[in-house]
Amino acid sequence: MMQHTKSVLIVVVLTIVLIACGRPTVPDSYQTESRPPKVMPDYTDVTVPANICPLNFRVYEPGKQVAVRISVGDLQYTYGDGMKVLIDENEWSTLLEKAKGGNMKVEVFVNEGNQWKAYQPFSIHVAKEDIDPYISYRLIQPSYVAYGQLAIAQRNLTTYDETDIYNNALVITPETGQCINCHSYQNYRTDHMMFHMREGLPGTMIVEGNQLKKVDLKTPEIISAGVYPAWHPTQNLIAFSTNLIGQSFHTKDIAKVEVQDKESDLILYDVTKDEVFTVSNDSNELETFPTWSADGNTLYYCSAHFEYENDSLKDAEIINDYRNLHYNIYARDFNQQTHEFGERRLIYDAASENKSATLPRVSPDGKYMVFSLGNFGCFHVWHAEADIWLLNLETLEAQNLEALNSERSDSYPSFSSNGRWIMTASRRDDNNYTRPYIAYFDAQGTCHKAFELPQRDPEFYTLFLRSFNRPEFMTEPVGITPEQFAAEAKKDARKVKYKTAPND
Amino acid sequence: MTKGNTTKQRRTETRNPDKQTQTKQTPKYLTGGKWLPAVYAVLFAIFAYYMLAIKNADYLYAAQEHSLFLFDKSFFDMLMVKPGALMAYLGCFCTQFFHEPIMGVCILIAIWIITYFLTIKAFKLNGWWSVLALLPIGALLCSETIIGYWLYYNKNQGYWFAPSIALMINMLAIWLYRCFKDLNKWAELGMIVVWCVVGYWATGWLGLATTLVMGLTGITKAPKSRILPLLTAIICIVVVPLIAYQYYSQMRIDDAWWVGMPIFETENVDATRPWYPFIALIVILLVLGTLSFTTKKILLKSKETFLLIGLQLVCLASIVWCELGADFDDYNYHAEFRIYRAIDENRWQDALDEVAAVPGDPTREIIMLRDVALNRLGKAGDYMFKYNNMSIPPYVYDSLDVHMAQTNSPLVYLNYSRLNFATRWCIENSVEHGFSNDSYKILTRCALVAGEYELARKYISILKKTLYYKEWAERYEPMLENPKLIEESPELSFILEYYRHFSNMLDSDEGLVEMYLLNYFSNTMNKDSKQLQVTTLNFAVQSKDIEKFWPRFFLYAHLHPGEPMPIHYQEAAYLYGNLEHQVDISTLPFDQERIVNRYASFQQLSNSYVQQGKSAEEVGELMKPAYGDTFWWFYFFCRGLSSY
Repeated sequence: MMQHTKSVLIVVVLTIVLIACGRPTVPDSYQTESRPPKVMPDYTDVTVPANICPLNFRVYEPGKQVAVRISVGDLQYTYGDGMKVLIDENEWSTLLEKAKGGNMKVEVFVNEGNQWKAYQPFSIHVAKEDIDPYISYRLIQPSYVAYGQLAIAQRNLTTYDETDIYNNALVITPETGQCINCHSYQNYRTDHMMFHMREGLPGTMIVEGNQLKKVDLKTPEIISAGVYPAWHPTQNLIAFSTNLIGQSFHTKDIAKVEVQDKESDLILYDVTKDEVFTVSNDSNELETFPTWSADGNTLYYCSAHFEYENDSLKDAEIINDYRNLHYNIYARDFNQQTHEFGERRLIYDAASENKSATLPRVSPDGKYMVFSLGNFGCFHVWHAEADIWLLNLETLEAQNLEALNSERSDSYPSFSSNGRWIMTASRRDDNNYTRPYIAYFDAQGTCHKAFELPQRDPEFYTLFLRSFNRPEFMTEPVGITPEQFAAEAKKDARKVKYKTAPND
Repeated sequence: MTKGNTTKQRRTETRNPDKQTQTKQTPKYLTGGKWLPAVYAVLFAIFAYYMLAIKNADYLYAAQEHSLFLFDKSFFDMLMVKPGALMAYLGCFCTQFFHEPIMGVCILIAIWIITYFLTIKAFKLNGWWSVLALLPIGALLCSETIIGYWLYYNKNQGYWFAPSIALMINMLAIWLYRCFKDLNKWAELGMIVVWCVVGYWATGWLGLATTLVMGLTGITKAPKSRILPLLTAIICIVVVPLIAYQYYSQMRIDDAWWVGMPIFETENVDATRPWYPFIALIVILLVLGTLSFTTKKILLKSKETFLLIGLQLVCLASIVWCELGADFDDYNYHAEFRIYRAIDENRWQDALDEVAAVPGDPTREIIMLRDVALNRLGKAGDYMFKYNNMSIPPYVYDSLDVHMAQTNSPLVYLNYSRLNFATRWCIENSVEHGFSNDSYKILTRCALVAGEYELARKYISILKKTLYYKEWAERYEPMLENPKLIEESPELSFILEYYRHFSNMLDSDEGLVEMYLLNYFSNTMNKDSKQLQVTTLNFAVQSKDIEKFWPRFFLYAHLHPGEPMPIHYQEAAYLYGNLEHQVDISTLPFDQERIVNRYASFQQLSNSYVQQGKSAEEVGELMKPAYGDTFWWFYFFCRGLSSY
């Protein structure tokens, strides 16, 4: 009797295990569709790195069950969980390894009623070059003045693991909300990094090795504390813009909000000496978005020319003229020994084309610059027409990176540390929520179709109501814990000293 | 067989000694306690049902509208970021049943009744002592109805059920602990440690409180033997949150011991009143844990009997008294929920009927919602002054600053097609207080009208994962693929008509919804859309601005040839014509009886009161019964209103 019960139990357990591990079978007979299936995220014909986590997706075709065969040569696996395709991580690694420098073939079969349909297969290309294993971003609801639930998070691209670098829930109270923004790293490493905190417990958090310090970058001589940062690639220096930022609301346009700088300048902060000096503060120029060349000898930035007619009506003037603000890209040589800056020179003239160039970033080999180009203004995350452009720094010729772009806002581009991947913050999914898209940028300077940051659940982006802001590549995770940041955040910020610029 | 008979015989002898002897020799005891728990459970259930399902159904419906539960793992993951979050998750799950208030209330009462019996078990509150077990659930009943306008500022997800479920689980834990306690010392200590970890993870602060209760249990009986359990409990209470803090990146260290405790705070106000039930709950649990309750028989007519009966009365009376005190029964507050729901469901006339039923002065919110309904029905020109236009601020029991931007503004903005403002306040409020069914419904409609179909699809997908709004979402879903359905929808086509005729500009409402709408529409001129033009005229009339009124009035007359002129427009035109003589009104065909003659008598009466030396306020009050339904009365006497 006992023996019989035991046998039954074993059979039941095995059956459950088999059902749980069961794979869908690719049908023998089916109708064929002459088009690829509609899948979300759209991973059709994208190029991915060989160290990326599985590209799980959902099929949006009529039907209730999908069978997907992914193959590289004679190696093949089938998947299907309802209409979702959830790929085993180990099998995916094997597929990637085998397809490195080549392609994976993805065949999609959908069961609609009792009839199977086979869609035109698509490919996933696998590049030879890896991608940095980590990225970080700010997770923010697309709100305008409220900022509960703000976090800077880091994501392991080789897995789906995401952890908080810092979360404002660790310190905020109803009396003191806290905005956090503008995380930045020196040369993709996290032992020299920073981010800002505003409103509650304000200050700029600086990491130097294992040391943390919170500084107050506002001095009477400058218009605001540091805003948009750029760590010098080799020195303990951070270039910042200082900005007086305002926002107004569109009454009808689906762009919803217009963020403008009423004033902006550039400063340089010496992290070791806790000193700042002004780099540029022309009252008729709105200088912003500094970024360094790979060798650290040039500071690039954007600037728009704007002359106020009446100082007491600045707000009204800039709001009324919001469509006529056009930013160009400029460069200034930097002497790393004396910290002197050279004269500014025009790198990209967007204004002459009634366009506005923002957020420049230079490739690690120094050959290229990517930037976001829109019709006007500086806050392209809300500008649907904004696209990522590529500037050849030798010829100064620019081109639209069409493979990377969409009909919606594409902004905040950045290069991976090996220069082979370009990431952008894109609103192509729904025009409101920013998602990271990554494109392969090959050695010939050609950009390939971008893929959306993969998530374990393919429906993740539908339900997730926060934007991925300022996506940045990192070569390693941040070593400081959120609790350590929170403890430092509660301390008073150290005041920095203002000094005269070496040029003056 | 023989043995059985003998035993039975003995029992019978014991139970039925000589009756006469018993009456004389055996003392009378307080009896009937056996049935009391059941009686109290029924009484409490009836009282709770009355207070919730009958008195507060509109509020509870609004509670579930301001809550959210999604049948999706990501929703679970999103909530599980703090100790005690499991209760928030279960709380959100149960709150959705307030969509059918009776069902939600029945579930809540069932939880309370189970908790009641578990409390009896946990603290051995047998018989007459069982009344004490009503106190914890009585405190929770008070917490249900005490929050008032904090409903809109409530950050405690699952608030209406989470503490109740947490208490039920903790009472079960104390009962189990009692069982373990008697096994051996180590089992008892183990239970304290395990419950501190598990209880804290699952129920937050209440888990810690329960751990303390476990440590205190029986301390009055044998203080020395309780030192070790109490010490263990205290150490656990100190250490466990500190360890947890290292694993949760969304919890402040200051909150670690209070996590899960409902907190009502805004930037300027720290409300204490909604906290009272929970403070009471802690005190009751500690007292119940500390004291031991005798099970000995108590003689009738003894001092103890009177004390015990007194205890029954005090407990029952205090529950009733506290709940009646905690019940936020302001008429306007409840009316706002009913009117809001009617408008959300496009039951315009029902909304107006509710407005008409308000016994005193309504809030500005009610007036704004009324105007939305009148505007929808095209009746504003004839009816907007037929309703009471005087208003009072929303009733609050503390210094909570209620702003319409945080209460009804998204729905009002949606109906006036100020979609970006509706979206903005939906998002801002949701970021602060959590996304809700209500916010997703408004965001969906905004996105559909604005042509943001992918965005609308996102919100519809989310609503399809709810229990009660799935059907709502499926009604709108076909519009994603066939936008013509938006034009055919009576609800959305009205909003779309405005949207098409608006132009874009950069603007801000500065958080003052009513003033923004008044300024925007009364300053807008539009001849391409009759619907928009009428709205601009309505707002121009309300603005009491003569310069704005005339051009919109004549444009209305031009766009509506041959149609009767609504009565309030006539009243305004006749008044302004007589007041300023800027426009020759002699050729305008005013209604002789309702305008010309009535205005003459209005003037005559007001002059007579003025001649009697009455103040403007007194004149207004005296004339309200006869002329309170006119623009003239609104123009002269409806003053000093402040929006919020």
